[in-house]
Amino acid sequence: MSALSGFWITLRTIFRRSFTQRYPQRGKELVTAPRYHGRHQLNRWPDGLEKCVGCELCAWACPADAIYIEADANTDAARYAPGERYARIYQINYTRCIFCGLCIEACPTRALTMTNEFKLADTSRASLCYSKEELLAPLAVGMVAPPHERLLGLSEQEYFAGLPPTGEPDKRIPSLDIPRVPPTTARTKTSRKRGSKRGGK
Amino acid sequence: MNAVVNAVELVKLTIDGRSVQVPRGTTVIRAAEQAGVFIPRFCDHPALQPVGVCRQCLVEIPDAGNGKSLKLQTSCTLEVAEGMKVATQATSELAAAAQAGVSELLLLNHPLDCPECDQAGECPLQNQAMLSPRQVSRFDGVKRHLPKALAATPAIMLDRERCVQCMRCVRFGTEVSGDVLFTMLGRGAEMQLAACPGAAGGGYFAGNTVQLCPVGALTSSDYRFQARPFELVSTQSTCDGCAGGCPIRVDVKNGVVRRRLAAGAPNQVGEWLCDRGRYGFRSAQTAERIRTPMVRKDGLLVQASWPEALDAAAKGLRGLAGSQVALLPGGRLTLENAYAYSRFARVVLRTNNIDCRTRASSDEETQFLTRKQAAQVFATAPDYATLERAKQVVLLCFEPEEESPQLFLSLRRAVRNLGLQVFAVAPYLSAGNAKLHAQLVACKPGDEVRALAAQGITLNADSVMLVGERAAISAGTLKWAAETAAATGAKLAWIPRRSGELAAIAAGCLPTLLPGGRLVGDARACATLATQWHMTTLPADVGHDLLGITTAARTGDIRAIITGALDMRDLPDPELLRRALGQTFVVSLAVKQSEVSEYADVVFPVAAPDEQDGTLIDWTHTRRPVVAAVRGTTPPDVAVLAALATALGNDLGFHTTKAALASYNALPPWISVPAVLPTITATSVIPPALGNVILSTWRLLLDEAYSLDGAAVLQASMPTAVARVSPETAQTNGLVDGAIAQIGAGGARWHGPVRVTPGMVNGVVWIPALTQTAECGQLHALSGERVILTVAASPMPWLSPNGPPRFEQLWDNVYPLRQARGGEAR
Repeated sequence: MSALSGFWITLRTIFRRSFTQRYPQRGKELVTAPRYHGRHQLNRWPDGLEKCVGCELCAWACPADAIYIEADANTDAARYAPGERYARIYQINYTRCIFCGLCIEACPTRALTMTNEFKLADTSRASLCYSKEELLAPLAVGMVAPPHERLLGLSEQEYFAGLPPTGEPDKRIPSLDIPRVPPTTARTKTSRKRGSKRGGK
Repeated sequence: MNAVVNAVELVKLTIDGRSVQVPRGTTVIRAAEQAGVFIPRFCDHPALQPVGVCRQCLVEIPDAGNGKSLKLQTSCTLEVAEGMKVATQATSELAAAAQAGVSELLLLNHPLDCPECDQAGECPLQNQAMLSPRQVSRFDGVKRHLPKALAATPAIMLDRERCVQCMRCVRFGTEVSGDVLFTMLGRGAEMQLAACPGAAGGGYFAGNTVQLCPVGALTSSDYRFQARPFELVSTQSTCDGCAGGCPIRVDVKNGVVRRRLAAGAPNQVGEWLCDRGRYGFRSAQTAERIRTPMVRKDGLLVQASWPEALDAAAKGLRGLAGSQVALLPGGRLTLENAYAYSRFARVVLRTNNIDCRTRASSDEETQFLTRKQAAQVFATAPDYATLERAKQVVLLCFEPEEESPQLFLSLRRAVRNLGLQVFAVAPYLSAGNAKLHAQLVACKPGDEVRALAAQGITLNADSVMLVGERAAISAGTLKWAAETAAATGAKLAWIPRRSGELAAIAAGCLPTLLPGGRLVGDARACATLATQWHMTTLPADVGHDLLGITTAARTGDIRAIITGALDMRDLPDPELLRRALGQTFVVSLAVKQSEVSEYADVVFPVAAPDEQDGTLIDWTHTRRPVVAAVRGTTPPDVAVLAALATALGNDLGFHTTKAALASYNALPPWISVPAVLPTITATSVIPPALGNVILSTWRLLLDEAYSLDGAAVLQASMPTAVARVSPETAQTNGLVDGAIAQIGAGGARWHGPVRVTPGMVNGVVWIPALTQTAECGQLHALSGERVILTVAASPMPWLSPNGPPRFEQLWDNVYPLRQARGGEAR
């Protein structure tokens, strides 16, 4: 009887759909595990300003030395992040990255997270050095591409009020009272296709 | 030195059970350092007076030496006593708890913006907090908030939220530099740091407060967000800003110099650094930087390959006799580079037409320098320590704060602590000399010696004469100084403004001198050098100096000139050199494009000071190492001259700076016999030109020098150019304070606001040389010449004598604390 049950497992599995996929499947791949360590993403505040302050803690934490940052000061004329500092240059070199996620743990502002995107193969080293523009999260509804002023409150105090003790995702909507900067370089594409138009490093 | 130590009474005490002996008067925190016990501190600094304001260094004193215990004491203010027992945080729970409490208190209102703060990673407060047993604050209220970084001075950003009120910056201003930039306002919880209004550009030493600040309250606007400490590669080098020879630390990220810091040990020379040294390194990073050789083709400078440029230079120089070529290496070279120029002149070009002084000079100065160098008097030059032993210092044609800031700080320290008396022989008491409490010996330019004699100041072996490079145009001053030093035993130091002049003189970049103090024309000296250089003979005729070279070039006697870093505006008459360069074949070795490039036929790129190894000789005649912080792609002058020598079918003897120094060091020592030394004769007085007043002028530390190009914070810190006159002179010429004066000489006009200066000598107008030339126009007149002083025909509103309004705005911003607190719900 026990021998038969073994055969039964084999028989059943023969007619089951295989879990192993062929790659590439041109977008038909199954979804990865929710916490899969894929390509990085630089997140934004609800008004589109960058959460990254250019502190370089991710670069410090990186065991593969894959992250390069040059910070700069925000000014009222050109504001990319709500605070004093932002990353003027942010590069991740995916020929070096080992997807360990230590950079995510080091990030003090939750600016850097990892997405599920794993299809990173490319034809040149230069194209695997992702720039800040490539890493930035797409603009969601209500977001305006920086540089612009703080749309969640003009002062830093107003902007950050109530955060982070709520422990809730920041769902605030940018204030419409504040005159908006027209979105000049707004992007609408949500998932970026890697192609020949890439700017390199 | 031993005798001094033995004379001090030693006190024995016990710190954490460790016995230590220290001199009486030492504070407990210093004694603990000697015992190898570290007590955390913020306000304490070895170079500043103890104040005990941060309370971080509290220790328990079980026995104060008299058998009685004391309550918790700040170890930075408590003096040691015989038999004292100290228990620090390592052994005393009470002290540890007190320190943790103070740490928690300091962090109550300290923002947690370390990721944005430049100090993070090298912050004592951060380290302290990470060591604290309590990693989570018990404070759950709203922190005090003040507006973020304000520009306290052009170079300093002030963030009051981060301040721990240690008052280091305040004490630095009063105790060290004399520029009071910061002060504490309010009391208790409302105490805050404020920038003093009217502290215009911030003085010349403001950058030190940033380095002193133990938190991120004061940060450098130049270094703002440039790098993180962990990614910086640091190099110990020497500043090339002046002849002070200050040790510096050069921090590089990604192949770019990001900042310079003072690198001297506490209470030693170089502990502080002037702002010129600290921020004046951007010049090589500007767009004018030359990276490839260039050759003039059809009137245009075009990029060329190295062989092409070397061929072009060799073609222009080949076939010229020694008397037809000249070299102007400039005064900013390292010893190695200057030696390469010197040897190139004698061996390859066979000429003595070489002068490192691209500034107003005179025969008297040439004789003075030749005599000093040839007799090896420089080797026994006074140094910083001499100033501490001296009783009086006479400043002749020398402004310490403007020309040698480190020397100024040493003088100020000696004045404050050791009762040094300073006599400033000048037309007026400058702000720098006032900070030295100097006694003014008011005199017209060129009249220094007579004024000094009229005051009845007698010099003796306890006196030091500090003579600046401007003495060259004050006829008879150098002669008098040399004679007085010999007669009275007073020490004499000649202090050039540029970092490389003493090295260039040692290397023989003067028409009268060969390397190592050998005299041109001294057959025996030449013979030793010729042997060393594998030559049969060396050119024996004394060459032309700068003036001679420009004159000979105009008459066609000199047909080719090789220049180093040269700023035409430094010359007494730039037009003369312009015409000379226009008529000759010019080979320029330059870091960046300048006016000389317009006249150059061949341009070779050379390494910037931060990119090459070398040696500088400071005013104390001490060798100071320069270490490359960045490996650039451009070679040092040595390598270019060696390649040019090869292109001319000759051999310079070395190709690298290391080999050049070895070659220089291999020269046998030489002391000229007194018989061959030149006598110093006073130059004739400048003929009086038409004019109602005598001009006095000198370069300020921060001006429009090429070497400060790209240093935006320095350009913003530059003092406003004013014309100073005495009250009587102002009245005679119809001028009032703040009016716009016009000074004319030889067709050129200078405009600027008048500052009536009491105590100034009559009949003299002082203006800064080379400051805000864009607005003022440049005057081609030397100190001591007559100029025409009048009221400007039309007022110029953009030349505000009050400077920019930034500080008044800052002052308005000082008291928002109360409002901010009132606005919060508690």
